[in-house]
Amino acid sequence: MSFAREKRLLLGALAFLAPLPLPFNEMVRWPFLLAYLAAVGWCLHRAWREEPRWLPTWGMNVLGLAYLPFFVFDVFALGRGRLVGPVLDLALFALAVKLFALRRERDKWQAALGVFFLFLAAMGTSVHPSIVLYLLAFAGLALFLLARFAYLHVLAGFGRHEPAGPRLPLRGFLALATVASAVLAIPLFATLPRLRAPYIVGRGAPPMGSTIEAAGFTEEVTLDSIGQIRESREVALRLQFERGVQPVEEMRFKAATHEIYDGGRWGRSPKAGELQRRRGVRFWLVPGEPIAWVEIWRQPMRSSSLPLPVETLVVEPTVSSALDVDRGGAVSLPYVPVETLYYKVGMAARPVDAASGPAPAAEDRTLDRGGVTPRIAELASRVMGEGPPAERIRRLEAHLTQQYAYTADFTGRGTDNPIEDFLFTYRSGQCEYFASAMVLMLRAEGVPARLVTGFLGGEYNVFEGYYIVRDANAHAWVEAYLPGAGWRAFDPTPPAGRPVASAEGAFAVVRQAYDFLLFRWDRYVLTFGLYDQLTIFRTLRSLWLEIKGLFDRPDAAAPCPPEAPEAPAEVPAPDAPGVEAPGAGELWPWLIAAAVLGAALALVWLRHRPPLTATAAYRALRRRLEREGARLPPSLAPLALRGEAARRHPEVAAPAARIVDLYLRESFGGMELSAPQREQLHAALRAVRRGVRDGRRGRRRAAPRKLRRPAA
Amino acid sequence: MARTVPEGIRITQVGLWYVLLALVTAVAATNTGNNALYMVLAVMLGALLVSGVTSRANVRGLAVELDPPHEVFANTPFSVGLRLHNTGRLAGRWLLLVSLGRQGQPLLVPYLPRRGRSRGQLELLLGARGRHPFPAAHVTSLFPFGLFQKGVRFRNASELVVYPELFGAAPPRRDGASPIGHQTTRRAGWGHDLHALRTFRRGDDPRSIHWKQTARTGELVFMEREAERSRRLAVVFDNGVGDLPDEAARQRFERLVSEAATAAVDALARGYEVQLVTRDRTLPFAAGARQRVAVLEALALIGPVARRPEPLAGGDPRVPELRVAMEPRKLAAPAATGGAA
Repeated sequence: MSFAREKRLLLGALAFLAPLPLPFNEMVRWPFLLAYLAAVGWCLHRAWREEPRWLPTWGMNVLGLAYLPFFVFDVFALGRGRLVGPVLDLALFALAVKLFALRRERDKWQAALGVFFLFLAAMGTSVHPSIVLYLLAFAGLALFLLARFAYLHVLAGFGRHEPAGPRLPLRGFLALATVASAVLAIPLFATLPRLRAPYIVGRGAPPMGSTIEAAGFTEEVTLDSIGQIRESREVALRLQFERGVQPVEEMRFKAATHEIYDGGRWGRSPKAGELQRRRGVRFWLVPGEPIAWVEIWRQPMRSSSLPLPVETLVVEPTVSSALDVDRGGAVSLPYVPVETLYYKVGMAARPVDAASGPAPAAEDRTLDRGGVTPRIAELASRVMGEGPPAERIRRLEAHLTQQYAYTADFTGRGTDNPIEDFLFTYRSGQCEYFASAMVLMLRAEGVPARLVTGFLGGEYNVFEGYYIVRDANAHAWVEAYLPGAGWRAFDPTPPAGRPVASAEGAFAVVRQAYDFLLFRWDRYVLTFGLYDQLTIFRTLRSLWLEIKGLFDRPDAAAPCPPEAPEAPAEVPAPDAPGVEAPGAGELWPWLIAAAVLGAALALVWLRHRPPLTATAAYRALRRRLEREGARLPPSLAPLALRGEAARRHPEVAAPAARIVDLYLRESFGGMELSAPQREQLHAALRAVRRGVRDGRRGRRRAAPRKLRRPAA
Repeated sequence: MARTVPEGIRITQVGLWYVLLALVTAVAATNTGNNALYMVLAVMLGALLVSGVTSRANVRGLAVELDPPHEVFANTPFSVGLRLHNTGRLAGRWLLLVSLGRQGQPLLVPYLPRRGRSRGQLELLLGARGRHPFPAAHVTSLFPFGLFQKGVRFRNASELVVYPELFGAAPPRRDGASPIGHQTTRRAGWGHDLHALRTFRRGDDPRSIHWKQTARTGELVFMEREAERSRRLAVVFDNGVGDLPDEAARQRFERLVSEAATAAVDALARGYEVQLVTRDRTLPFAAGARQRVAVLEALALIGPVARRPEPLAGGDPRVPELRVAMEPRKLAAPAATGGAA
């Protein structure tokens, strides 16, 4: 294979691989990519056949000019004014053309540069964990390309331009190098300086793709928005309860409250103010002492809402310095986070009323009768009847739960008055319909009420013991004001329409495993940032201080400080209560330090140990013989030692003679041993040790047979 | 070769581009905070580290043994035998380039398996006669990715005596009419060639009786042999020229040394006994390989000594001499031809 052919094939393979993730990221359209891949495939075919004619420079220029009109069309028609897509299309086109014009060495490196930038674009727009595989594949192929190019470059320096001879055994090395690069990349990734918050292309916000609104948590909610979002299996929240704490049976997370209903659309409750921060970074919704803590990772959802369990007393966010609260007690951030948000929540045993206060006045928005038609009011009056407020509300809740059905099919329904249609015509709907109908009916009866959106339930992930709340858990319910009791939650949606509380089926385990992977990926790769680095550094620092503290312990014999009590302190016995003998937990830093020190010393010794001399080998031979019982006077001449060795251990006669011979040359001939002679010396010493050991074993084996006596 | 000295690292053009691209990626990652780009950067830096460590290990654990030729002449290429041994137990060595003193075409060893050996020849050229430290062997490698060139130098404490350059032409001037070589004298003597046949006389050596003629004539015939001249040559090199003022004079001196060496080597090759006479040293008449080495070594190390007024005396006046000297009047003429006898 000629050099040019091999280089073309390698570059073509790399160019084939580089843009593969782009259409998955919706950065490049599939037809364009397929055309590019076809062009690269054709180029590879030509390179394989070693076609002599390739595209001249003027041909490249002509093709470039011909592409210009398409580029304009791409920018203004296909890209709709966005530049990223058309520029990537142009890059693909340019690279494909360049691959057909690889004539000089410089052209090949230019093509490699184009391939690298495509690879960067593909990586930079990817958020899926599978890009790790892509990255490894690309890195492996790129390293192989670099290694082969270096080899061919050296061969070309020797005037060779044709068959490169036998292939170097490089595969194993390259696989190892790729893996080593990836392993080294892990600490490098963790320590490379982060100067700004991690950027990710959040859910529902790819630059060119369709958007999935995180409905339910935007400022306005339509009656079918939660139904749309419940089609999604994406993860919205992940929860990790502190050890030993069991979550309530039906977890409910309040994300937003809505008070104004206007023609099938709810407006969010106005902001009531900012939460007050106390005790450092904690924001308290309601005074009280939390009985349990839960860590929450909130995925990007194109909303500023901070979904909290309805039992929340206190919130401890890690990144935000302020939290807003609306009049319904729902908490939100002053911005829309684009990264995974981590916060801790302290919870009470029961749901708390974060919006407690005096009873709403008559003009309060929670009593707004907008959307209440006479038919709705009449139905509300009939269903709720007379009695205590709580009982009337329960009656209405039970009526809706039992008399109406849950459906996600709204085919053919009008949009003029969807709540009336729901209540009187179709008698089925989604959770927003149930909740909206109940709110309007309560307001018709003069009960302050509002719509609450959030999440209900969650599934337990067995892989790491955390709970997952998905988009499919999105839900809407009602909060009504009970005189004397404050705001209370009611859920009129039938149980069949409520989100499934746990994952079921064989596929659930696979999904949970995948979710576990995604969680780790999101947490430790995509959203890894300065805060995580500080956490790592803090951990390492405290570990270091802990180890250092072990060495800095005050000596027991040191004089007492002046403020020490005059009376002799009672030194508790080691087995007295309160004094613990050093256990494994205290010893492990010592063990680690000793192991590290030992490894370092061994490394230093291995690297700097003096080479074996014949004199040292001779002494070793002498010691070995003495250990085996030979009496060797100090004045014994080397040749006599050789004879003694041969007499006592005939099997080591040859290696012993070799050692003595080299010793004589070195000691008396002033000859420095060459490298091969040093190896011979090593081999002879090994042979002596082995021979003596085998001889000893043989004698031991033979000895019992002689001593064995027949049993009486 | 005992002492191994690392030669540091040299970044190649490909390596420069690699570092530049890593910088571009670093700027992009820092500017956008995109962790995917940080991943690319981390892998690039990881590969860079792997490249550095591997290339360093690739030129370590090698043993080089050189087998220099017995005679080395100035300005004459010579071959040095090379034995390369990978003493590493774990990994092979790839893409090794071995050179001597960074001269000439290096020797390429594409792959050397662990504990493996390789042999080769390296060509070398030394421009000046004299005593030279033996050139260090350089082992460099672009392995693994061609980003860096790392090298190691194997120092050798021994020295190399480079003999004067030998000219291919016939030896230059000889001493006047004195012939050199196997010359008969037209006198009876104890040589090998037949001089005359005569009647045997009392006292003649019976071993020289020509038995065929004796049988043919019936009386004893004695075979006289021709006497032969001595096969000796004295090379008288006057190095008492004082300090050589300029490059031209130095070149002229070197040329005269080469001429003397060429003549001596030529004479020795033809079986002559050669004597070398200089201002500071005299090698007695001798023939054979040992004398050749002695003469060449003496001329390899000869240098100008202080000028003296008296002419340099040769040895036996009966022996033909080759006188080689720089004439003072010609010192300033760099284009002058050869030496003067």
